[in-house]
Amino acid sequence: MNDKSRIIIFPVLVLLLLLLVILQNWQMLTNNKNSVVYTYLRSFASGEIGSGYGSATAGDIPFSILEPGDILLGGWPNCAYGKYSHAGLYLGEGEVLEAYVDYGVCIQPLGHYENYTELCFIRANVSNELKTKVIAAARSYAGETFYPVAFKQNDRFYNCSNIIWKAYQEQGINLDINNDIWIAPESFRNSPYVSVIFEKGM
Amino acid sequence: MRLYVIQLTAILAVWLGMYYPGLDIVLALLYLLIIWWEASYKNLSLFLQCLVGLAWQLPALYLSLSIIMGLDQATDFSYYFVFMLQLWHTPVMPLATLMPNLIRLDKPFYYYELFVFAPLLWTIYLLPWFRRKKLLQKKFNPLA
Repeated sequence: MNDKSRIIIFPVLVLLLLLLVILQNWQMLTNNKNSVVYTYLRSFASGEIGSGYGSATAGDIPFSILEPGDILLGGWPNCAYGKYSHAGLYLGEGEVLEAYVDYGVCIQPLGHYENYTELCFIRANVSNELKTKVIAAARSYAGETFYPVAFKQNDRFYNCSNIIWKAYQEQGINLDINNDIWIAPESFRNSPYVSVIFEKGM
Repeated sequence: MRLYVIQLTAILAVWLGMYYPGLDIVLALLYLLIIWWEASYKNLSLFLQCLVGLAWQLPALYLSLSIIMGLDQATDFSYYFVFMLQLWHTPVMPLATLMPNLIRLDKPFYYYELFVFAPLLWTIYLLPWFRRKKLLQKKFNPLA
């Protein structure tokens, strides 16, 4: 392989793959302005590229209303991908399944959710039996690899939102109404399968 | 400069390859192969090859050392250091997922791999130089 071939192989592959992914999602990309792709683009245009920043206001957070299987959404102002920047799945007994770049898919204590400026608890309107299966599946993902812009299709890379989506999806519940290529925390808030049980925001 | 073009486009290609599970692994292997070829077909001195390899992995080495030495904590963006390091190593991340999901000191195994990738890739870039030298020695060995 000569000098020229070596340098053009990946740029050509990028263009090809980009074209393939766009074509495969053409319907969703052209008809759905709520897609997280547009949210990212709008945020990028206004200079917001990260998960946001800010400081939390003190307040009583009713953690006691949480039941296993509930979804917690936390957010900072200026988040690039919607009102909420983070999602976690409540496992019960003060434990939440989450995903971070430095911890991978992990189980963390619940308390740190009081640090968010925006906070929302949502409950999937499904049977307790199904939620038990969701939690069992979710626990088995601990230790998996985090990747921030992980596609929903890939079973080896996860972020905080698509790990929750997958746990429910495996039980036949699709929490992503947009059928997007990525899933943002806010997608759960808009799902017809859930009810908001608590919301705090500035 | 060539290595930067390969690196940046490989980040995008492997990320897009993740859309088709399995393709990302193939592209990660292709990336390693291209790096190997890139190093094999250059007639650089060992010093220059070392320097080019170092310059190529400098962003990752800077990020890794900042995290290990805690320098990132002095900024408001400490979380983004690991984040950027992982994005830089996107071309080899699919290979990291093939390793067992071990957790050590609260961190997954792939987290530690992020710090090893830069020196490892630098070494991969240097190896063809030794191979080339060995082949040349074989070719011109008067006793052979």
